[in-house]
Amino acid sequence: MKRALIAGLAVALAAGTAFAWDAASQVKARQAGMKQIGGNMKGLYDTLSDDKNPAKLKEYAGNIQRLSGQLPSWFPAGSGPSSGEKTKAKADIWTDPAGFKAAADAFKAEAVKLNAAAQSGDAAKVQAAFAATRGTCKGCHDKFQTK
Amino acid sequence: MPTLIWDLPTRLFHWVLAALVAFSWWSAEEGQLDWHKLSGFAIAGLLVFRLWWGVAGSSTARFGGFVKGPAGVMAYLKGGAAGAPGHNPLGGWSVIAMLLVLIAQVGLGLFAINDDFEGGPLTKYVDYDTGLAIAEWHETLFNVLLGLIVLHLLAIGFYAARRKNLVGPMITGRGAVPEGVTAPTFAPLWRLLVGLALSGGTFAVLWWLEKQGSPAMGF
Repeated sequence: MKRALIAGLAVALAAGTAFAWDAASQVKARQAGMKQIGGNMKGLYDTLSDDKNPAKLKEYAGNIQRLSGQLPSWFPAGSGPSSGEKTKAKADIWTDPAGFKAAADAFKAEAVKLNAAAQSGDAAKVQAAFAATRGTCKGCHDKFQTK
Repeated sequence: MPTLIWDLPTRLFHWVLAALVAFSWWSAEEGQLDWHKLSGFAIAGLLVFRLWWGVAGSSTARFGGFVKGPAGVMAYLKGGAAGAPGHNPLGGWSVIAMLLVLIAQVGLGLFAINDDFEGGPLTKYVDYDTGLAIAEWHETLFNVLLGLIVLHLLAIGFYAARRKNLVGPMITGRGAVPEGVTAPTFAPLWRLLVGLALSGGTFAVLWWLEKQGSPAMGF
């Protein structure tokens, strides 16, 4: 009984994340995704500040590149401030789709370079690419995120 | 006859702290996080100095001299006899509250991180989510600090309306001391030097920690 209940709950949870159809879960999924990017960026920064372990650099940079491809899908129409949900996403994301796409593409392009640098194993290159990637995060946040 | 109530170190601490808190507020609002951090390190240094001065400084700066129990505060509120020059029993607690909030505020700032990966020098000891949460507490606690500052300014206005100038003595150091009340005693120079060394050392350690970070951030 208990096991069935837990299984049912797990299925419900999985379904909730898989079919994020309402604004609340869309915002939640977006925030979770952003936190994943942030966590990997922080991991990269901490590793660069520490022992520059190439395996770790590869792992984090690989994650960031993968997530950068998913990022545009985290902004479905109707998941902005007009939904009434608590979100830092500005309405401009949807009123200026070209501008937002450019910002997201810039991030993706830098994330690809970052991953290439990490795979090369050259920490100095990773450092430079990290700074550029971070610049695209900040560039997009400055324009499309409320403080 | 005006007597020296606040020594120069205490007055300098007060005004530099006020300026740095204002600067920290401005730099945070403007997203000037490099300056904000420097300001925070300097405030940490000031706080260490004030803690030292609170146990080893001049009599009006010492916690033992102005921190009173509930009975002392009540007696003061009921208009008891004039106490020692310096903080009154109620103002003493406002100093303690202000110092505690500032210490917590600086402490949180060291671990805080924002979503542009700007963070304090100790963020590597917390994960990203925790760092973000700490940054939010850092922001909330600042509102508490602002509340204390407003109370502080209201108190100054309250006393000004009763013809007691609190600002003047904090600038010149001098104020009226009722007759029959023991005049303040002042700490010797060597204690000031120890305080300055502790303060500078705190700033230097935080600066050094900051420099341990990867140059990738461009600082």
